[in-house]
Amino acid sequence: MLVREGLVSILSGVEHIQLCTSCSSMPELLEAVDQHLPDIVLTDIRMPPDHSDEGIRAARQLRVTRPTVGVVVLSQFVEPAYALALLEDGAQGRGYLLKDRVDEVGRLVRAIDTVAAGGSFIDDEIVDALVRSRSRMVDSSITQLSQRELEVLSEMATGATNSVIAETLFVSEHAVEKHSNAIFSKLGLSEDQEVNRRVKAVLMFLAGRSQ
Amino acid sequence: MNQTDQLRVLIVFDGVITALASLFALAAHVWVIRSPYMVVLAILVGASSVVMFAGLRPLSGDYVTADDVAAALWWLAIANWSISLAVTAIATFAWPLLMLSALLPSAVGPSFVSPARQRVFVIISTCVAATNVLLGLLQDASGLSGDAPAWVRRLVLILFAPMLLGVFALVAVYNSDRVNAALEDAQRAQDEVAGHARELELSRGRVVAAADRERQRIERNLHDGAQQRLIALAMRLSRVREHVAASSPHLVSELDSLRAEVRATHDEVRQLAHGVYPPVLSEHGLVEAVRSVADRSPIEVRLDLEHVGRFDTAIESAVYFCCVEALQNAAKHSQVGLVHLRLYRADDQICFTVADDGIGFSLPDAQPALGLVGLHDRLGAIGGELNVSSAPGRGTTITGRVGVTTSSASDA
Repeated sequence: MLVREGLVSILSGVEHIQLCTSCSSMPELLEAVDQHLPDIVLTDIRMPPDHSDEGIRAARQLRVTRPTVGVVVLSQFVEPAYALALLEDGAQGRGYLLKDRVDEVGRLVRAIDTVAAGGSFIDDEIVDALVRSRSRMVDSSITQLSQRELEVLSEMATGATNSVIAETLFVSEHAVEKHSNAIFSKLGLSEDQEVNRRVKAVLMFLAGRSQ
Repeated sequence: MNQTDQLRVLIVFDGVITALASLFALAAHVWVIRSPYMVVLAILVGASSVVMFAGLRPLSGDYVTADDVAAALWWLAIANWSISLAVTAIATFAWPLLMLSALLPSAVGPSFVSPARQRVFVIISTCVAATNVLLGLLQDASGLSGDAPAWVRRLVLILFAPMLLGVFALVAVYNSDRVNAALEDAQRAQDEVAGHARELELSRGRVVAAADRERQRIERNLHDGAQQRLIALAMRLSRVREHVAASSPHLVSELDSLRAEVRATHDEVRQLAHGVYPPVLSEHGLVEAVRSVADRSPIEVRLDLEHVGRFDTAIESAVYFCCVEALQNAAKHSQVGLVHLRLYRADDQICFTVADDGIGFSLPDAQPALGLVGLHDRLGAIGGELNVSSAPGRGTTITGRVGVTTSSASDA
């Protein structure tokens, strides 16, 4: 509740973001969505009734009932398994952020904007954890990637488009495309360049799961 | 009928037969074979009967000890052995019958005296029986065998053989009763022990489950309570920082520092909560939980993880915490920077191996210190087993396995 209040306060200062309502349980959440038809749902994972994975279950349900609504999950759990559970039914219009740096307004807003536009936004700490995890696995094909390719891979995993990656890494978009091709070839992933499918493919690869 | 009563019955039975034999001899003397030997026989047999009945004395009274029973048996034995030798010496034709008398004490023994005492009875009975045979076959000093008419001889055997065999039969029944009773007792004791063992295992399982539930409760408390407050605190500090950035820039760095402190605290609490019980274990299973703990390990962990699926909480907790403990041990003691963790399914077992190439340790010395007993207990409580192999300079390998039936596996 404290965090919710804090978020309300933070976002109230942002011009293009307007708060519809705030809720404290999963049934309340789903009802509120039906009532207010928001662009984005900003939610925790754990809430009443069970305090388990309500946020993710709500996202799944909304994928079916309200496919235009984007969901940004805010969680304390850095374990990639949660982010992957969120993306199980597709990466578009979904984001996963850690609460640690939720006070960085710029970042929060960027995430909300990306997801509202139908993209994906995965906290880079999650991606880092995944990359570390992948590197630990005995049969790790990730070791074949060059440093630059690894950087591009990590950016792709956060849901960034090629142009965003180019900006972040200070290279040309063309270079990003080249790296991307090399990566997919080395890792044996299918070359589907659609951003949302790509982020899921990369995350799945990093998590060591087959598609 | 207890042991003492059984012995009394045997003594009385034998005593009565002996008394009858004495009377028979007397009657035979009076009406058939007028011979001084018959009288002697009657007296000797009669005396033996009295000796037998004397054996009832030690068995009287409220408290009968093992020594009392042995004493009664000695009276019985001496009486029988005396009869065996005396009667055979005088009426040699009756020697087969008197074999039974000679051997009776050794037959009665097992039910009533200790193996050591029993051995004595057996030895003496055997000697008496042998002597009995010799006396019967090699001499006829009294001449009674010649003098006694055939019908008398036959009558003796026909009358007394069944009676003596009856005593033996009774002894056999008592012995078998005792054996059966002993077997039943043993079976009952075994069942009781098995029952206790089962109950103990269940209780162990309950204790561990209760401890795990408590851990989950603590984690949830930390997550929903302290951790949330720290996040909110950081957010508030951020807002204050925004407000003063323009007006009092000199406070900004102090606020940044404060915010960093709060974040560090939050991280610490989160690590603590994760160490108490990782939510990712109950929500996503062993593989994800192990990956998470590998990420937080101070030393490098190489992972070889099969997708083993989901299992009962008890099993997942036990395997997880054992892996954690093993990794911590490697980090603390191995003095190398790398440890291998393997998690896999083998038929109806789930297995894990944590291995390092470190300095190792000598097994008998180190167990308590490394918390290995705790690992044994954790796995033991769910019917699993732990194997530790290590030697100084040769690294350490900890292997655990737990049986999982198909009913306890619930693939998420």
